[in-house]
Amino acid sequence: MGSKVSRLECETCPSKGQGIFCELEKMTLQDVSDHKVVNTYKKGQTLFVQGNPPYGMYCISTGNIKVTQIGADGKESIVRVASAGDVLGHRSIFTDQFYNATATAIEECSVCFIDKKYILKLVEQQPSVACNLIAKLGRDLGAAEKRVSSFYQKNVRERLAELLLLLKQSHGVEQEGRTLINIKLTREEMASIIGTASETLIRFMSELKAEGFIEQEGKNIFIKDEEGLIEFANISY
Amino acid sequence: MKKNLIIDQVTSYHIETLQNFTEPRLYNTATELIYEGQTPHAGYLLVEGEIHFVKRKNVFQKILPGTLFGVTELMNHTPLKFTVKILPGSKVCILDKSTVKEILQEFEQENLPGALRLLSADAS
Repeated sequence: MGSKVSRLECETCPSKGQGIFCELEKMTLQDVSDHKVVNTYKKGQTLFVQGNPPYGMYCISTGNIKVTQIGADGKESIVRVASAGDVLGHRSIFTDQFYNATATAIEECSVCFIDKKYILKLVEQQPSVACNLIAKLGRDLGAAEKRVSSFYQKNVRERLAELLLLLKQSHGVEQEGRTLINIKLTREEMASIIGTASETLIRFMSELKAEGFIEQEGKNIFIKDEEGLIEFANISY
Repeated sequence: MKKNLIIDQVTSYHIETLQNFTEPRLYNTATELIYEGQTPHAGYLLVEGEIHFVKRKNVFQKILPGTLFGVTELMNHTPLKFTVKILPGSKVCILDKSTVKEILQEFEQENLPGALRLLSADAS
């Protein structure tokens, strides 16, 4: 049937310190390690699909995962991008609703799965897990509110500048006085996040480039002038 | 089906009893439950509908209701050598690790087939 794979232990996880289980004492963390199922997802493979039943939570060890929703018109829009240390599927565990989004790997990812019963037991027994989950839900809600207000109050240019700043914050890597946005998002995916057409996004990217806020080298985007971009995005950062 | 593919046919009595541990869940969308090379997140008991075992884009086995699979691989952390795809409208009982442990504890067994045998004994 296949050979056993090497286990990714929580104690040695590349994302240790960023997850909701990281404050657990060693023995409990080892129990989580023994219980979880670790898998590698290739680009394009789905962790869960909108409309299907949830039965656990996913904890990302490495890589980036896009969370998308399909609207009534069949169009896919990216709700958010989850990264190493993030969890997915936690909301559906508590609401017992079907998944309202699809999670797809946008590059090779290492992801741990923990079943619902085990999570609920941990939440009951370990206050730090409960607190971290509540904090995570709070942050998610805050980000969702910010996104809604951004859609109503900002034009596409400002939303693009805001997205670039958010990506800098989550995936920025400093390189010789500028910041590389180190995530493999296509222009279509970026356009989907800010709710515009890819042609419009490409046009405004060129504008930002002409203004000297960003630089592009192939598919790579670099933030050159963060202050200028903040002003352009019309946000207090 | 090769001998070492861990699937078991279970009776309606087994299905009823397993449903005491986990209710059947409806899959509205076609989904890869397990990708080739991955360890299953749960064992699955197909109650309604159809599941396909797929290798190199070819369906080599169609799984019908009353089939239980993936439990041994889940408990032993063993990856599958094929992809498992569930078709829309199918219902499965999801036997995640916690549920399997509950069942084994209930029947004081070390493996699910053993627990199922005990269940059959109870039924007779």
